[in-house]
Amino acid sequence: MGDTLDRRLREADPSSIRRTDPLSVRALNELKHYEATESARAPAARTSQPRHVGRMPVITGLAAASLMIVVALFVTFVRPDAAVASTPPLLALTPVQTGAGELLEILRMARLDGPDAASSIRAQSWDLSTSIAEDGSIEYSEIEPQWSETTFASDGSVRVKRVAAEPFPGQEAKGLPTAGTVLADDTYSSQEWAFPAESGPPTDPAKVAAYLAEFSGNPSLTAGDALREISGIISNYLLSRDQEAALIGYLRTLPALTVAGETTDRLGRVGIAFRATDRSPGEFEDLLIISPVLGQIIASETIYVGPQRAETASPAVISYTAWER
Amino acid sequence: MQSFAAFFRENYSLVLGVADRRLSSRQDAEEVAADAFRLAWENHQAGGELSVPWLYVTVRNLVGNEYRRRDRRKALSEKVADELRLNSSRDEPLYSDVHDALDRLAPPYREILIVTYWDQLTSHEAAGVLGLSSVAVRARLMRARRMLRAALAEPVDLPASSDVPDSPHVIGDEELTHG
Repeated sequence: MGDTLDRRLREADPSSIRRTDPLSVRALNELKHYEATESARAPAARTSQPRHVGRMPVITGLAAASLMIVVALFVTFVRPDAAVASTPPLLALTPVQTGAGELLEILRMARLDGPDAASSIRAQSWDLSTSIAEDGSIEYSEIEPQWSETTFASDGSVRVKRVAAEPFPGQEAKGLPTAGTVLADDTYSSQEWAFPAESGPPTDPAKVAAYLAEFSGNPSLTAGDALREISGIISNYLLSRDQEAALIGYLRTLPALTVAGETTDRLGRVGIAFRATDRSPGEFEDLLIISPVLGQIIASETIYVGPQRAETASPAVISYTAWER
Repeated sequence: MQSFAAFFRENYSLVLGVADRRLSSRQDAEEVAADAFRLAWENHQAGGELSVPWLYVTVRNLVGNEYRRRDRRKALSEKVADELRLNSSRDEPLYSDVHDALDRLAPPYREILIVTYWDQLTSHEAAGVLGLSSVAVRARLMRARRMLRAALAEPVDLPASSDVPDSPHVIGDEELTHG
């Protein structure tokens, strides 16, 4: 059914234009102008534009300048009656004197001595779900915190159950599913599951960078990118202690990663939070929290730190995951 | 650093397809594509980075502008709903069930299927557009495929949701979540 579904979905495309189609005559003419302008490399090229055939452009310069802001920031919420989107409280952080490299090595060794993989992944999570509105803006919708359990069967199938959890402190519960409501309970065959065990991370820290680059399709991962990819990996793979220790060892190689401090996470556990601010400087910070006891990665968060807006406080947590380990 | 000409050559058909798919007009799609690359050129000249996510969101903005322009010109009785699926003049009855099923998915799941299967963005590009990690994109895509399969199997004339009277059953709305 998987191949049939893929085929039907592709064939249902309302457009006959494919990404790999050759350029049209019009496109080639436009391309010639850009090539000529680039070749000239003249200062006047900064204001040069292709001869526009047809209607005048429908987007103003001001609208164009706002596009990058639209890409990065919140625009619309599904719950328009909320003046400001309610978000979980920030975690309190206590400064730690030890540097990131030394701490991560201690944690890596602790992980190697810790328990091996469990048989399931249990986590509590929350985020502002994203989609693209018809005008191209990014829409965010508030959801309730969710509890999930991902169980791996011996035949390769994976069951994912999601249950509504209690609203976080300060969140308006109206309109949200009652805590305990089963939101989804799906079993994926081994063919359907997008994260087969054999595609999991290596056990050698020196190989993790290359693995993440290939895994994400991004050869230029920032430290923040890496934290988010690792968070996703922990949510979808049963990692051995060697694999998780390798990920922690890899984190030592990221100069942009700093120690945010000691904290108590949203499940009441003490952890060391590591911070990256290079994914989208001035807009987002990414945190990864590791237990100092067993060296296990126990939580991740993303915080919006951009300009204050009518719809969004700043700083504000926009996603978190806490793994029950 | 990639040249603008190379960026244009690699991504023109992507842009054209994104616009054509939503505007049901090759001519309008070509206008949008020209505008999109003109803006990309200006951004590039100002020192901006050439990226597919930036270009994609730009195209979607321009398409939105075209929707509004058309709305202003059309009489109320002729107004076409702002749906991602195009008008029936292009629809083939053979795939109307797929389009109907897509329409019944919650927006994040409908969107990930369209940007992946029709717009043909890679996971990395979709992640850049949506502000997600690539893992989250893969996870959402996996769930979206499951939901589409369920929607295709469901009868179309479902009773309205008890929470939202007189509204079609939106699949996946209960559990919008990340990867």
